[in-house]
Amino acid sequence: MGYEVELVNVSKRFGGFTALRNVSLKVPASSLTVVLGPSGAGKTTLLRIVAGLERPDEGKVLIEGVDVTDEPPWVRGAVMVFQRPALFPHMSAAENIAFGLEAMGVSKDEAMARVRDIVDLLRIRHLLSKLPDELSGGEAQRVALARALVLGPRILLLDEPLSNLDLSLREELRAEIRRIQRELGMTMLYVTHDQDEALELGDYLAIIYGGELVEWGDAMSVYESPSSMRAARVLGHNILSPDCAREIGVSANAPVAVPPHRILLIEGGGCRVTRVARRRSYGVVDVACGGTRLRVAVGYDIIDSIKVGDRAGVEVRRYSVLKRP
Amino acid sequence: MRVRAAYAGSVISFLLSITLIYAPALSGLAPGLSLAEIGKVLSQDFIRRAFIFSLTQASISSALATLIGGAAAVALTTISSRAASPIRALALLSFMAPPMIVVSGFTALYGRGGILSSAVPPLRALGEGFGGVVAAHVFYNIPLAMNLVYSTLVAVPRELVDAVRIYSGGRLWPVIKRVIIPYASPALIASYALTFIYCFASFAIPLTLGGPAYSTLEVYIYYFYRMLFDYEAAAATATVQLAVLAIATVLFTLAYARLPPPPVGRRVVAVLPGRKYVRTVSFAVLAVVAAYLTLPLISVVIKSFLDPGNGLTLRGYERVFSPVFDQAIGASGMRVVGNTLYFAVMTAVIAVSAGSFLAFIGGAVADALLTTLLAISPLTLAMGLLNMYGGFLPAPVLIIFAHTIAALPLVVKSLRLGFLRVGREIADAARVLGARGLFYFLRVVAPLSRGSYFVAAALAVVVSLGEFGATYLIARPEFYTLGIVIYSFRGVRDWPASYAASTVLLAMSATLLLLLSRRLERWM
Amino acid sequence: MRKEHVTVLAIVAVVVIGVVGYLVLSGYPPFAGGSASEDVVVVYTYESLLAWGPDPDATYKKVFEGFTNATGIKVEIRKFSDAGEMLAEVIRQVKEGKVEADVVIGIDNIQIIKAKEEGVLEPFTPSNIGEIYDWLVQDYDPEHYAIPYDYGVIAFVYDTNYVSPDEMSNLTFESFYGDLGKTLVVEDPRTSSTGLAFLLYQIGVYEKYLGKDWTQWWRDIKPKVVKSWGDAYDLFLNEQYHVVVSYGTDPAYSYFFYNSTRYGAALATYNGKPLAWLQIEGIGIVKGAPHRKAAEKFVEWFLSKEVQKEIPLNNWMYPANKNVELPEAYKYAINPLDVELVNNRLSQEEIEANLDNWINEWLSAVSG
Repeated sequence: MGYEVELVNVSKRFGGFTALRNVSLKVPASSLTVVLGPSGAGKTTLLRIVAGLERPDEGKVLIEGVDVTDEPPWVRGAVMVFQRPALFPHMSAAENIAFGLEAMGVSKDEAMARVRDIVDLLRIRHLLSKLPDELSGGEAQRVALARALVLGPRILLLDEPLSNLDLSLREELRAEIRRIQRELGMTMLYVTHDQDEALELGDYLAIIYGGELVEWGDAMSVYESPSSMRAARVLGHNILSPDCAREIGVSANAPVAVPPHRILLIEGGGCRVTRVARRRSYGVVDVACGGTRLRVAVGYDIIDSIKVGDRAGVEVRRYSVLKRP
Repeated sequence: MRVRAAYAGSVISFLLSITLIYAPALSGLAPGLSLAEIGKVLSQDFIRRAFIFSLTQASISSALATLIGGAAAVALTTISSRAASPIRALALLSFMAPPMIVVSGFTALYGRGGILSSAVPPLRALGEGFGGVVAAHVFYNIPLAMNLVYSTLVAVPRELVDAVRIYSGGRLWPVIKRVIIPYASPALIASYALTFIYCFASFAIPLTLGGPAYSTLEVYIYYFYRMLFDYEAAAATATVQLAVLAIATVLFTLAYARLPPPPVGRRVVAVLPGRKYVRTVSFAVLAVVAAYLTLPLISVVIKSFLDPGNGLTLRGYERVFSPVFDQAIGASGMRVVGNTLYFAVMTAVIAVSAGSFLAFIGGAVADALLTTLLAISPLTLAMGLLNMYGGFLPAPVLIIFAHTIAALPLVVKSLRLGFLRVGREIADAARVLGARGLFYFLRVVAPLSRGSYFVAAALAVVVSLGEFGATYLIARPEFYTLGIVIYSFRGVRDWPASYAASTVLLAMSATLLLLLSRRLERWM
Repeated sequence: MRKEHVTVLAIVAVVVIGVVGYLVLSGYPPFAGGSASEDVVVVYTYESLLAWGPDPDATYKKVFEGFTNATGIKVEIRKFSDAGEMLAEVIRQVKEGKVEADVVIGIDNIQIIKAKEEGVLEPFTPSNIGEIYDWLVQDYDPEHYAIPYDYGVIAFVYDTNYVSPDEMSNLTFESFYGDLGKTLVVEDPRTSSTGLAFLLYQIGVYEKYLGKDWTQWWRDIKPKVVKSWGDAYDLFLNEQYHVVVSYGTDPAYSYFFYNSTRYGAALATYNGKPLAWLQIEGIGIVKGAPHRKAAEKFVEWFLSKEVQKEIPLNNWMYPANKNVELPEAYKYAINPLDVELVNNRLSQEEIEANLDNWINEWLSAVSG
């Protein structure tokens, strides 16, 4: 089973740059938490601090309630997988996978047995004798994953592990990671800037912005109803002032976030279509309702009948009040 | 806690090994570390003159070497890197050539009855005296300047060169002023300082080519120590010498720190406009430099087969490889060859082992610390070793010790560059997987920096083969090396034997350097 | 696994190379040739000893193998480029307590002062000392730390193809101001006994006859200085320099070999009277010599008429043994007994007291 991970008031500076500011976060045991945020927000630093690769300037790291802030990586039960596979180029895939076991002093036979188990789990048995140079990007990242998993980590830290892979491979591996997390039940912290990944994988979602943790909670509620302005911005929601909100029939005494996919577009009305764009699997329509500009997500069946300049109405199905900046 | 203890352990052992290196290096100075002793040597007119000579010749030699080497580096960028490669390999050979070979080369080429000086008598000036000392020092250090400057010039961004060229309408001066000088100046300063250090404390060259009129302080250290047995005067002279070397070392360290990191597989940018006259001048510069660097070495080889006045001979080689006791050496030639190889192998093994420990534990600190060893001249080091260990350690151990210390700065530098190539990603991956200490080193760092191990070992061998001053001070005939018997044979004017010994030694260094020239090039 | 085997093998190989190499080099008995028994004698000398005869190899055999034939003791010779270098090595051995040399050949009448001062010789009175000129023994070292085996005067030897005998006939040191000085080559007194003898000759003439500062001559002339007599003579024979500091017997050498008088020898004169420096070379036993008995036998052999008769035509010096007849060629040599010796005005005590200073002043003068 996984370990609970807790950060208490963690700050980290690199020279004059503040990478993390006073971050507190409790990751429940055996859950999969996705850390989402724009590049440079401090996501990777957060992960490295949990892994023990960086020491926070202030604050503490607790694992299962034990303060491990000053402990080296290898006693934390946490293993990290990096953006690039970082396989040891002079070792075969099998040697790479067995590396951590070797470092722990596990006997050769036991190591081989555990390597066999893990390569079966990841379906990469055929790669064992290859050198990293001979592996494709996806294969290499699988080997890297196996190299981490073989240690039976209680915490697995993944730093954008799929960002260098092409789309279909990314989706395939994403499902794999989810499956493995369910099967092995370890705690997983998954850093990404890809919302698809966040939504598909996360039990929990943590949103980091400018070194601060701005939103944290159950993945769906964070996604649908963020309460922080910066989180809403990261998620790409429409952010409306109370006055603007009123124009589309939402009354609130604070700014609100309206997710584009929770707005219904209706034919005819007081708004005008200013832009129509197609995305993968869905469409985006920008409309201006008086002084308020809104982005609405629509299905392909609808988008074909809309063009710029059309009149339209909007119906907000769901919104959240932004109580925090 | 165990982690802390291990950390403390490595820090302590690191400090211990640094002490082991520095204690002998500095204990050589101890007997002379009093104002009275220093005052006494400085009151000697000839020491003051030697001081001035050391300073003058080193300033002139460094200026010339830096200037010519810098020009050659600029010229090198105008030709393709493939064409530049043999010239750089050649330069490396002449930089690493043992000093006695250089002496032999200059004598063979420019000396009395020299190959060139017989045809062009004014060239005799390069074969002895002030001119000889400076010319040999320049020979030695052109490659140093050339490689340092070249490696900074290849780091010049292509866009910058293009931009300056476009805005200057193809004129030459703006390129020199805006690109070459700003980029090359740390390299020029570093190579001036380093060359100065080598020249100021030069021993073999002034000893043989200079004579009493052109002796450096280092030569007088030898004179005091070995001929007058005045250990205090020797140490006091070494202290005076150290003061100057320390200043130059600081200058070098500062300038070296400003150099860009060594380029990895970078494409060469021609920093000068590709005009015809530029190419012609570049080509001419390179041809002259290449000739200057090769001819002495070639002459050594040729002269090793020439019996003065009697045609061809192999007599020299017979003497070098003779198993019979040689009266001019005090041991057999064969034994000397054996000594030379033995010291070289042992130096490589010890320097590389110790060097990897220091570089792994100490990293940049070790590198910087060992760089300061530049300020300790070989004779100062040898005096220190004799002072501290002479009573109970036998000469061969002391010689290997001296060679190891001489090789360590280079060894650590090249190993560290290798370690750095392991990269942060791999290092992090290994750490989170639980690899640490010796396991991490043996399983990850060492195999990944294998290349730099070859380089480090080769450099250690070459340093050992070439070391003259410290060996000469410590060794008795049964432990002489080829470098020393070149001098012994010279002493009895058996020129074929002296040149043959030079050729054998040159062949050893050259083989190693050529085998590794590709790797070494990247390293320089 | 296989990789580990390789590592272990490599470590073992390195250790074996290290240890065996070390044992071989440091002379661990099973590998070393030398022994402490008295069947060998280690002789140090300068490279040109007895090397100038019509057949140097034969002479060499006669002298050194002759000794082995007569006594059964093998001779191990080590040659230095000059006697000064040899003496420095012997001093080093005695200081370090690792004496390897038994006999030194070529310590001259100035170096003997230093050798005694440093305590590197052991007195020995050979049984055949009666055959040696007593005045030589008295001049050289009455205490018998070493015994003279030959003698001769230092002279300016010149090549008549370039320098006319007229020019050299009424020579003084001042004559070297000008072109003659540019063609003069001398030996470094720190490494060469010839050079040291010449320095004292010059100092003696300036201080004791002319009453002038001797260093000025060196500052003004700046002659070419080389490490050894061999180097200097090489330059002279190669016609690079035409006057060399050498010995008064050189014209005899020239006459004997080339039947020519191409090479002349000249002395500095004072009021028309030639002045000379007498160099006496001696043979001695090193203090703590490993083969003392063999060394004594060798010294006696070297002073015997058998060896001494080889001196005039092979070492080109006057033999110290009074029973040896001089060859005919010696009529062209400068006989030390015919000239005024500067040595007589420069006592051993004075030399002893001033030598280090003189060398320092000399260094300052030539390095200016």
